[in-house]
Amino acid sequence: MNKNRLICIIGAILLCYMGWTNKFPLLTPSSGHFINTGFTKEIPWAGNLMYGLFAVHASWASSLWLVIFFQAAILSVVICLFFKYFFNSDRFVLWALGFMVVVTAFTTVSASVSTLAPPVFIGIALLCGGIILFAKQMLRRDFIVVAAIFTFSCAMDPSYIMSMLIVSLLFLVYGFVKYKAGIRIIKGASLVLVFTVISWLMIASFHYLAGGRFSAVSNCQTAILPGLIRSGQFKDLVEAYPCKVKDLEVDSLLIGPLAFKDSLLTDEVKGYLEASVLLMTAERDFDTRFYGALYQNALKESVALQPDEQIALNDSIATLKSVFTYYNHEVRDVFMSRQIFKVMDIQSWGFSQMLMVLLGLISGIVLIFNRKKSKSRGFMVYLFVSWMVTAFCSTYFYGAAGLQVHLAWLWVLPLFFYIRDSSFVQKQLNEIKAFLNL
Amino acid sequence: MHTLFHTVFSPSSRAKDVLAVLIAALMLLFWALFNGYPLFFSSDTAMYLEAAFAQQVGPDRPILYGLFMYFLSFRYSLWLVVIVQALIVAYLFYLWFRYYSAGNGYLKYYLIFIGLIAFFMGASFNVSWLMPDVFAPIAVLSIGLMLFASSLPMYVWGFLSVMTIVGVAIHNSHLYICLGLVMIGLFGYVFGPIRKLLYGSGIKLKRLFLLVGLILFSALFSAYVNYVYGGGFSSSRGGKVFLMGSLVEMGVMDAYLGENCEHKNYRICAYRDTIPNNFLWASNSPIYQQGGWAGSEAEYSDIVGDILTTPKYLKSVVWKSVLRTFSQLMHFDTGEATLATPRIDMTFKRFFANEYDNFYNGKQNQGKLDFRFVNHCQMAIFMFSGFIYALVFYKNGMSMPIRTLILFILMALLINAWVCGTFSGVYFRYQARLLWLIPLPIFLFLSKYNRDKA
Repeated sequence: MNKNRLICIIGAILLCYMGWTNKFPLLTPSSGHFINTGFTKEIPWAGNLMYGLFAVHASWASSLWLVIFFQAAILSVVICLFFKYFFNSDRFVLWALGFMVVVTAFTTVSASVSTLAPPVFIGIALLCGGIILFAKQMLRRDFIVVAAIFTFSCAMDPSYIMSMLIVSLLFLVYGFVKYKAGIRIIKGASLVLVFTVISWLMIASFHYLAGGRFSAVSNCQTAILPGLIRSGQFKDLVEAYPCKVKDLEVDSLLIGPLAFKDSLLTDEVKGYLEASVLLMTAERDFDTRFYGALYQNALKESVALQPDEQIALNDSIATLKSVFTYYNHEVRDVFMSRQIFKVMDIQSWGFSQMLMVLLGLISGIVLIFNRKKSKSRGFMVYLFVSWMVTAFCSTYFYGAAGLQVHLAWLWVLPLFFYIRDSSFVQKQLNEIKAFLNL
Repeated sequence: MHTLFHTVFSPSSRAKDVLAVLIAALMLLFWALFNGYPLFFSSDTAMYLEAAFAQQVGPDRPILYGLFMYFLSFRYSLWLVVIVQALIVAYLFYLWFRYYSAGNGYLKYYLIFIGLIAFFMGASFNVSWLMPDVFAPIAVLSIGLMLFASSLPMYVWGFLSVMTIVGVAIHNSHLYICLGLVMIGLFGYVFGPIRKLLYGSGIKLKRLFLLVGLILFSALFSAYVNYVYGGGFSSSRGGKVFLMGSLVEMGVMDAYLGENCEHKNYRICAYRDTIPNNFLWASNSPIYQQGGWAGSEAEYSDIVGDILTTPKYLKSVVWKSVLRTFSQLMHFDTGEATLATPRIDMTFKRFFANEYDNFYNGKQNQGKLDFRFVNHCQMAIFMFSGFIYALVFYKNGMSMPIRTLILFILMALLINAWVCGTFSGVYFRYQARLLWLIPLPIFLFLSKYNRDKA
């Protein structure tokens, strides 16, 4: 087997570390929701149908392990391609493996990869976007692979589409401002924009074929309902206009950051929620209140890098039910996982992650301001911009739900760029290479 | 001749070596010293002690480790047990650095390596723990040195042979791991390129045969000891029941009983809707409703045989085996130092009453031991070692003998993961006991490089 491919496979296996050590893929309270929507093809109220479809098809309706293997494989391939085009080295795959080792050991990327939830795909989408924007002389095959993965990853959640739309428009504007010097940026940004639109069309088509509207979300008003609930704005409305549906606890409607509890979404409840959101958005000062809270929460979200202490399966009935229904032979594995015993502790990864992000941030700032030496300045700017944009977009839909933690591993990239560009470090690496007889 | 005698036996070099081994043993006892008493493992430590004091082998494990504790402690202090464990491990690593890499300055790398695995990996925990797990790396290290060292003095051969025999006999899984390692080497001799690699690394065919002989002798020795202590002439204890437990955890048993209980008259069918995950040890397990381990073995043997010879179930077993192997490979947190169960509390009161206060007041029993930092360091060392080895194999770096040694260590980890994950279950302690061997080739290479440079 080709050595590079073998390294890529080893990288994918390492990225699943959290899943291996948990003895089963990590589940969240909303994992069951995704599994259910994948099998029933019922368009969810929050998010979209794509991740559910991906999960059930990747699993071959047979094993949830295959879902995280696919996630890991996709990420590993994208990382390898990233290093191929940004490091210009015959040994790019070793840089990629080194990167995967560092991020697995010191960030929570492995938790994101090993979890049955879409957040791993925003990191993949950002990385692919960066490759499309800044990579030079890409092989056609590699370009097709990156474009396909980008389109597919964007489709996993409406907030990802919004993020990449904004990022591509910003870089498009920047390219026009630069005029002749910005032609490459314009080309790259246009491609990102086109693929993002294709992604939107793909979701809309799937939703239409599943009996819904031709739209990337089930309902434009209720798509932002998780954010309204989480930020407390919806509660204010409920107090002002009491709910006619008996015993409805609005806060209990959500499972995890991304989904509603399907069992509570009766037609009556849906009708009340739709009407309430319409009422709310029609209020004169809604925009001021909403966007005020949004900017505040987006800033909070952009620095929320500490994962939860335990990856506990709180309020897990829906998830356990769906595993029992669709993956019955894996029920015992769920009940033997570390998660179910509440001993899946990743707090130490949180500390090391903060340190890595800090080092990456410092490296990124140095690279941006050191114009002569850095070949990766453009990507650094892209990383800073897309970080803030994704924080804004995820907060727009889901409030300050702590989703940015799934992207923290990207900050290790500036560190690697710095290592590559530093002559002192290169000298040490050459000595080590000679010493190890490599 | 006089110079050689003086060099080898001069007080200064000999004393330095002895001192280094003692310092290493002290480092390896870190967790026992920090705890204030040797560490124990839930009821398992108790079961080994009970079997030894009752002079009766249990149904689920060999008695040898119990006897090891019984005799070495002089029925007075379990500190003596962990001290001997520390000295054995320290001396074994010393032999590696002395006879594999040799030359000047090997003591420096030896002590740094011991420091790394004692404080930042699980070596000290395994050494300080009253469990036979420490003998897995002892057996692997002994076998490895006999294979890789170009020449060894007779007394070292004797020591390594004894360690191999004891290490393999002391736990059910060690036999399969060590035999698997050696058989792979033997099998490799059939193929030209692998034969060339083995020969180029100094691994001679006759040594492989010698090791097979030692391992088989060890199995006989274990069977004999079990026979003497009333357990029948069998080296492994409760193998079929362990496998049954594994098949329950894999989910295969549920499918099998669901499809076969109607036309096969198994006693376990009466309990098929309430089989717990913890099949081996839960008090409501069917094992204990069907006459215990001995009483259930015959029926379970039939069921296991039927499953493994039916393609439909075998396919599931193979798939789960692969998953559990990888899971076990990455499942290596150290520090399973739980609070005392009533059983172990009673055992200490009965057999080591003079040390009961030390046991009771130890940090383990107060829930004050925290291994999260060590586990994260261990994971990082594992990842980085793996990365360096990937580099080495990608670019054919270091030297062929070192590359073969790396393969040997990795094979040991993989076979251990497969044997334990498939036939027992995925538990931290199974992989944690061997993981601290992983940085050994790097330090041996450093030591060798230093020698060559000098």
